[in-house]
Amino acid sequence: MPADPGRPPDHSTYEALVEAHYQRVLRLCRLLLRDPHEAEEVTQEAFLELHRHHGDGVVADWGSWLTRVAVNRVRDRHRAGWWPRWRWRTRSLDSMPLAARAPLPDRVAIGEQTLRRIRAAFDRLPRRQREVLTLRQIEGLSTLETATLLGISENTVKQHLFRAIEALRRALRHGERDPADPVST
Amino acid sequence: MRTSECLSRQQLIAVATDDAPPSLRAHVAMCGDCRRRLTVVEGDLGLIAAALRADAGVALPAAPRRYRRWAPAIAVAAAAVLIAFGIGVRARAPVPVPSSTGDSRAFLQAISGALFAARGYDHVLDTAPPADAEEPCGWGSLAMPCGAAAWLTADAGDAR
Repeated sequence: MPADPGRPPDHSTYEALVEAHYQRVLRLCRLLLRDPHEAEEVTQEAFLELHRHHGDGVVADWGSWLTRVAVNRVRDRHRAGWWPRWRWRTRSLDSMPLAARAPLPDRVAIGEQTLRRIRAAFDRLPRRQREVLTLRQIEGLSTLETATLLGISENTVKQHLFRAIEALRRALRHGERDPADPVST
Repeated sequence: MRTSECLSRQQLIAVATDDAPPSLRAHVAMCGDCRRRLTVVEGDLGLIAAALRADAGVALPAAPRRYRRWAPAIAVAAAAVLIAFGIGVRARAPVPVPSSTGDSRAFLQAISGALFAARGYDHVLDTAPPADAEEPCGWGSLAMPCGAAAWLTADAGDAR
């Protein structure tokens, strides 16, 4: 099929897209699935899909396209039921040791205890809240994009985001008084 | 100083996540207390995002799958089940019913071998029944080869 002469040529090769998005998509899948092996599988499936469609040249933003494919694949996994997930369940991120001995810079800045509390609270969130929080706060999608991707209304996205943030902030405060509470006068 | 228009936590989070209407932003711009509270919320959001990024960015070694730890125990249990099943099947195997004279001998040999492994009736069974036997072999309802009856009678005589 000849290329459209009016269309700017697509300079992003498959390798360049992998380089640019693989780690991001893998992180997204890890957050949504909470299982490193399953996350890698889904990420690889998403990039296999990219490899199939990359030649089509019909997608303007491959980054968003990859996010959508990955989220849909994650949701397929959730819909598949408990048995396949249990069967392939591996060590959760909680019990996963670091590959490197030196802690990551983010960990040093945040502190191990705080990190654990946030992680535990994130794991306790309902799946929908985890999805919304990850897409909005980690992936940087807008409320409309998140709503479209998850097939829910914008108001529902806002509600889920508020509840998720409140739960994580409570874990962060760890019983202390919330300084964001209004000061009574 | 807090006013009645000061934002709730939900409204503050909406402002921090760019979901708030302009009226709420305008209030924050004017209210020092809400601005301070918003700073706290934004700081928490940054911390949460950084924590989740750090968590999901953990470099993962090739971890063994969880079921592999149970593999030896599962293998032993499976072997035990197979052995028990095999024994059960053998125990319930139907005993072949003799249908002819030759089968009867084989049947009795099998029974003899199983019940009296130390000393069987093989030598009796090996003795061919007399061709000119005058009396029908057997004691009452016990079907017994004629040679066996003769052997038992001889044993009884020796005992006396």
